[in-house]
Amino acid sequence: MSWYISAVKCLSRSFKSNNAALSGGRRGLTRIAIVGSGPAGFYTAHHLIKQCDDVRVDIFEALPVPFGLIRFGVAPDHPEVKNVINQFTTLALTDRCRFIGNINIGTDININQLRSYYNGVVLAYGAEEDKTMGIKGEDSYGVFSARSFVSWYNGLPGYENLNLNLSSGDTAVIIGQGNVALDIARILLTPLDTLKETDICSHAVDALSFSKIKKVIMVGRRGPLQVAFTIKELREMTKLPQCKTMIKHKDMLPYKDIISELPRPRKRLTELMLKTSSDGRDISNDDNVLELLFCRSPMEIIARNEITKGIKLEINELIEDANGGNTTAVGSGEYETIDCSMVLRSIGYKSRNIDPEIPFDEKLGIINNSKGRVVNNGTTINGLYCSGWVKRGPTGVILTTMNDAFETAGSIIEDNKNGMLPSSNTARDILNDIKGFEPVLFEDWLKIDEEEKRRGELVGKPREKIVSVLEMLQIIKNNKN
Amino acid sequence: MATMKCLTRAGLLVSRGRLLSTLCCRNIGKTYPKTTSHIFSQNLFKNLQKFNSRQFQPSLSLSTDTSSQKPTKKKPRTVKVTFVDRDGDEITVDAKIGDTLLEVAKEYDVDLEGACEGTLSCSTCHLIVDKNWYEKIPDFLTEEEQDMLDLAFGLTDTSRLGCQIVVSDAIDGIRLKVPTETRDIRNL
Repeated sequence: MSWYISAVKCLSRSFKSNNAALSGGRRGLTRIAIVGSGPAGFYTAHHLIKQCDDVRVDIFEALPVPFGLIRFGVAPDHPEVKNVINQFTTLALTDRCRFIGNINIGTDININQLRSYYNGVVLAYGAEEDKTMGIKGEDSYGVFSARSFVSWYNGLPGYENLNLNLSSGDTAVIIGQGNVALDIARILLTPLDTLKETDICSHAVDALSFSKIKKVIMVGRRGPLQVAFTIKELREMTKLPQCKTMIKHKDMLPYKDIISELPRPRKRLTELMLKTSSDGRDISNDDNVLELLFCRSPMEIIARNEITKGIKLEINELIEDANGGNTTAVGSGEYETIDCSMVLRSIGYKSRNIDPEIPFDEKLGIINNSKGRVVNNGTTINGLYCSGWVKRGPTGVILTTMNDAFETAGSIIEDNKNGMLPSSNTARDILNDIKGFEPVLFEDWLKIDEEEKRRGELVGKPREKIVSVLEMLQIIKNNKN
Repeated sequence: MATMKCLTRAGLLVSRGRLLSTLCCRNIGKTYPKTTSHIFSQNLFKNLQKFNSRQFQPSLSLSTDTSSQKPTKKKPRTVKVTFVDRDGDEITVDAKIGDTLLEVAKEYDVDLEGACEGTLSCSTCHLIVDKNWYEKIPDFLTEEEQDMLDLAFGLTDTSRLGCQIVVSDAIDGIRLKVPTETRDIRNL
C-alpha cells in the first residue's frame, strides 16, 4: 500500500513548503467541486482544505441535508460514530468550503457543465443501489433490501412509507453476515424503550411497536471464518438485553485449534464467536434470539399468494483453494427450508452511473480510476476524480473511507502542483447560473438541524428527523421570510 | 478505596470535559485558519459538554495525581511527550497532565484524526507506542479498545488509541509514532 505513504509524503511536503509549490501551475484559487456530501466527500474536502491554502471547495448534494450515510446509514443507537459530523460542520462553516444541497448532479446539471466551472470535480456519490439475490420469488411481499430497511428507520426521504410486515410472523431471515446485517438485527431485537431515546424516526418506532419478530436468522454463504461483521458489533449484540446470540457450538469446533494461527483481528473475532457458541439449551421462550447460520445459499423464496412464507436454502461445502487463501462455497445438492415472514437481503450495495460521460465499470459497480484519477480506456481524464465507495466499492468503515479520500485528495494536490488541472471558467460562480433550482446552503441546513433538534427535545430524543424534502424546503423558506 | 477511585474518575471527567472543549474550539481556528463562525464554536462546546457527561468512558485504571485535576488558576503541570509524525519528524511537546494523548495531538496540530471525538467508536487516533514505553502506560488496555484497534491500519503489538491514554507522570518522556503503514480491513 505504498500509495498511502506517498500520498502522505506528498501532502506533508506540500504543507511544509507553505503551499508555494501548489500554485505552481496556475495563479489564483483552485476551485474543486465534490459530488456527494457523505464521509467520502467531506473527508476529501477536509484534506484538500487542510493541506492547501489556495483551494476552494463546493460540495454538492442531491438532498437538502448533508452527511450522506453518516445521517442515513449509521445506526441510530451508534450516536458516537456520528460525532464526525462536528468536524464536517466546522469545515462547512469556513469560507473555503460551501455546501450546495438540493442540486442533483447528473440530472439538474451534467458532469461537463459542472466541470466548466471548476478546475477539478470529485465524484463521491457512493453506492445507492443494492445487489439482488436473483432467485425465484424475490419480488414477493416480505422481501426487502437491507438498504431500504436502513433508509426507512434512518429517515431517508422516500422510504418513510415502506410497508414492512413486522407483525405477520415471528421470524426474519437476513441474507448476509456483515455489519449492516447486524445493524438490522439489532434494530429488530432491541427493546423499544432503548430505541425510543435515539434519533430513530418516529414512524419506525410506531411500526416496531407492533413487531412480533422474536427471532432473526443471519445466513452466510460461507463459514465462521468468513463473516464480514466486525468484533465491536458482535460484542454489542452478545450484550443486548433480553436477547441471546445463538452460534452453534458444533459449527465453531472445527476452528478451535487453528484460532491461534489467525491474524489478530480474525483471531479475536473467532474467539468471541467460539466463546458465545452454545448448544442452545440456555435459550428460553421469552428471549429474543439472533442466530448465525453458516454455509447456506438462498435458492428460492417460498411464497403463497405472493406473500413470503419461508426461504429455501442450499447447504454448502467449503473448499479451500490450493494456496489455502480463498475459501469458496460449493452447493452440496442438499436443501432446507426455514419458515419466516420476512427476508432481508444484505449482500452489498452497488453504485450507479449518474452520467454517460463517466467511464463506469458496470460489472464491478465502480468508476474506472487510478488512485482516484478517473481513467477512460487507459487515458486519465484531467480534472476528474472519484472518492469513497464509487471509487473502490461499497466496503469498509469510516476509517477506510477516510484513507481513501486522503489518497484522492493527494492525487489532486499532486496534479495541481504539476499544472495538470484544466483552467476552466472559475471566475463564474455556479450559484449565479443555476436559476430555477433551489440550492440549499449550509446555513439553510442549520435551520433544518435546529428544527429537528427542537422536535426531538419535545419527545425526549436527540432529534426527530424531517423526512419530507418539501417540508425541509418549507422550513428554510419560513426562516427567510 | 472504591469511593476514592470514583472521586478520581469524576474529577478527571470534569477536567477532561473542560479541556477537550476548549482544545477543540481552539483547534478549529488552527486547522481551518479562515473560520468565520463563532456560533458553531458555542454549539460544539455544548455538544461536547453533553457527550462528556453522557458518553465518555474513562479508562479503568488511572494513576494520575488527583490534586492536579482540580481546576486551579495555576499553570497546569506538564510532562514531555514526543510524537513521530508520518514524515518521521519528531515533535516534542509539553503535554498537560490529565489530557488524553488525542487532546495533546490536537492542541499541537499533530496529524491525528479522532473522528469519534474520543468515544471509542473509531480507530483514527491510532498510535504506535515505543516498545520500552508500552508496558509503562498505566491506562489499562480494555477489550473495547482492542476491538477498535483490530480495525486500525498498520496494527502492531504496541498499538494504542490516543484517546484512551491519559497524560500522567508515569509517561513523562513517552515516544509515540503516528502510523504510516496501511492494512486494509478487507484483508482481515
